[in-house]
Amino acid sequence: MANIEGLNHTGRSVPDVRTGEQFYVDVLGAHHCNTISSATEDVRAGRGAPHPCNTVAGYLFVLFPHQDDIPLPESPRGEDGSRIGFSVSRQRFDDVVARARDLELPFEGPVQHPEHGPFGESLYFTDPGGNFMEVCWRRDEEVAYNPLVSKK
Amino acid sequence: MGPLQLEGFASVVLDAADLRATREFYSLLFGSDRGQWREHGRRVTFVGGDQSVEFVRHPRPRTLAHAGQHVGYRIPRAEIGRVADSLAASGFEVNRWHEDHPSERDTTPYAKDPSGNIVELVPSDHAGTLIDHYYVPVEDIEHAELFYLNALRGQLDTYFGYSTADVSQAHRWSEGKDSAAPWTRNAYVSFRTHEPNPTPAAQVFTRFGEGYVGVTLTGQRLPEPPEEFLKYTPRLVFRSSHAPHEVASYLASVRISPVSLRYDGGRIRFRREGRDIFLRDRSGNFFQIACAG
Repeated sequence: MANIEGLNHTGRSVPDVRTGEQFYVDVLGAHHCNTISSATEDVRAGRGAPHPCNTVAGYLFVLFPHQDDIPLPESPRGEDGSRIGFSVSRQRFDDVVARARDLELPFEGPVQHPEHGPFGESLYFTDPGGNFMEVCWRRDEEVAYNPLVSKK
Repeated sequence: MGPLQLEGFASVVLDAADLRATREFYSLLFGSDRGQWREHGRRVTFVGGDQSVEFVRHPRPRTLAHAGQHVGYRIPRAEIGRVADSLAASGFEVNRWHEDHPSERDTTPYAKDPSGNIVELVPSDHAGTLIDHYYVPVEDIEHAELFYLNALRGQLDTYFGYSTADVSQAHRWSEGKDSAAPWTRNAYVSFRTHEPNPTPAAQVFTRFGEGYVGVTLTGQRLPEPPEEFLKYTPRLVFRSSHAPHEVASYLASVRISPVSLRYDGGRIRFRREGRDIFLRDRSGNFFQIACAG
């Protein structure tokens, strides 16, 4: 049985990786790390079109161009609830909402969650590739959440 | 001094194995009424308006044609067919390809001069300007963007090779359904699938005045002179209204690096000779800035 030790990265497809990356920078404050296949040696290894790597609060993701034209979803909240969720402090959540409005980003929310649950409010939207996202604040934000267990 | 401003192209300087044959070839391109030829020792120059094309005799011309380096010359639209036919009749192979800048989506004639420099005939309605664009291969397109956009302060016209539509075009090219210039697509075997992976070449187009520099991430090896060589050929000459000491001071202060590291690296090496500044990008493409007096 594979003893998975942690999440390393995710890959996401978008129609245009440059505009896709700019979305993550503008909306989520992502930081560019590097771009795979931006050098001759990568080209010669058949690694395909450039795909930028970015981090958001330590979470690493890579953007690829879609291989085919994929219709974008109609709902910002997704079809079946599948999404990647990011969290911010309660204090900053309102700033995130304001920023989304300034950018004229289609979104659903803020959605109020039940008071007895871990989540306070959430904002739902999609990236340019139709990948579903959520930004939330947690009622238990003072509690260390799911600490990484190092291999012994 | 404010931000660096390069007003456009003053000239290109190319190697030529045979100056007489080179002059005959380019006379077919430029005709007799767009400018005049000047000879000076081992150099011959065509001067047209405020631009020139200079050829330097060299026994082994450095062309980088294998990676698609070329100059796009503006030819009166009504003359394109005749010029292409005259090149073919003179024994030069003429191909018809398209490239990926929006102005190059239709096929246009390409040929090699007697020394192997690729020329592109760009149909133009205002052919008073000789040089439409200068296209160079690079080995690192992230660093190239920093050089051309951040350091040289070019304006981003557009880019290609980063989107689904561009990948689709590469697949059509691999199926023989697209007449893209060969340096704009590749199909190296993927290290993961062990199958050819049709891919568009990542390209960035940077505007300087009326002309633009096209930069392409190549899959070819680029032989280049030793790093200390800053004045070499082929090279593009920019025009600047700044004084040379201003440009030198600016270049000395520029730091470009694709990676955020806490070190004082990312310098641009350059050399000043009178009113001219000579520099190169990281892939060995050479440039000159002709400054105001």
